[in-house]
Amino acid sequence: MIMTFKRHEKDIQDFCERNGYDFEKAKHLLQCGGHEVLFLQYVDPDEESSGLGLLDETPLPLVLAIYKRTNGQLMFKKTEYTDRYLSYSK
Amino acid sequence: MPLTNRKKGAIIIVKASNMISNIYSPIEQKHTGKGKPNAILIFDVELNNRQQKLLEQLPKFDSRVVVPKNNVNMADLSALTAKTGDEFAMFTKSGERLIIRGNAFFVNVDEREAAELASQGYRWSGHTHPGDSLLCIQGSKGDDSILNCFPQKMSAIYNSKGQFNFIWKR
Repeated sequence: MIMTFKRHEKDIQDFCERNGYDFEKAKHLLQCGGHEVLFLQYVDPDEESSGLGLLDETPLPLVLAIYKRTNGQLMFKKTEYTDRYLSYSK
Repeated sequence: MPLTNRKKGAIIIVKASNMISNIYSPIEQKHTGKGKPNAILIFDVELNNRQQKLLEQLPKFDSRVVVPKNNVNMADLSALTAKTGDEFAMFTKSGERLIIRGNAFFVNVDEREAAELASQGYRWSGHTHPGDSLLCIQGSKGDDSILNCFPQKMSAIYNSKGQFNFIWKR
């Protein structure tokens, strides 16, 4: 079964609440998911597009990686960008 | 009826029938790994005939070919990426698919061309990222911008092992 934000919304919300992160920010991240993982990535809404399309394969900052273990449990992995893009604004 | 109550001859017939069935589908035929992205990547097995023909039509960077929809799927592009180390992109319109070969880093489709393809009725089925880890199938800036050129909600990204993710429009 493909991992989607909607399918795991409650788990992501619980993770955010436990770690003091802003769930509303998580909702607006780019979602990229398959059978084994769901990546949440940051796209700067103010950055103007270069127009390069597939000529620009610069990876987007990976904010949160959610892996599905073989027993079906989810494993959340923070990255160097998690605090920066999921913390509540001061 | 339990096996112990069966006639011995009947059991022999069942076994013989299994043996004949196995002779007609030998193990080599089923498990060569030919055409499977992971087997190509790890054991350098061959592409299948269909994939090989497709690759011959895409000899270099920015080669393009339109083929019937049933002739190719995203797993085939993953196999081509495993064999060549290059990215490939696929766009689908009714019964046909446009395949574009890239290089190890990108495919030559900018936003202007993507908008043109969308206006012609194509949807972006997906593309490949060379590599064998799940981390290779993250979205990039370019993936996000190209997806926004099409009316569809998502597109697939495959790695060289045949693993895939869908990238969703924000």
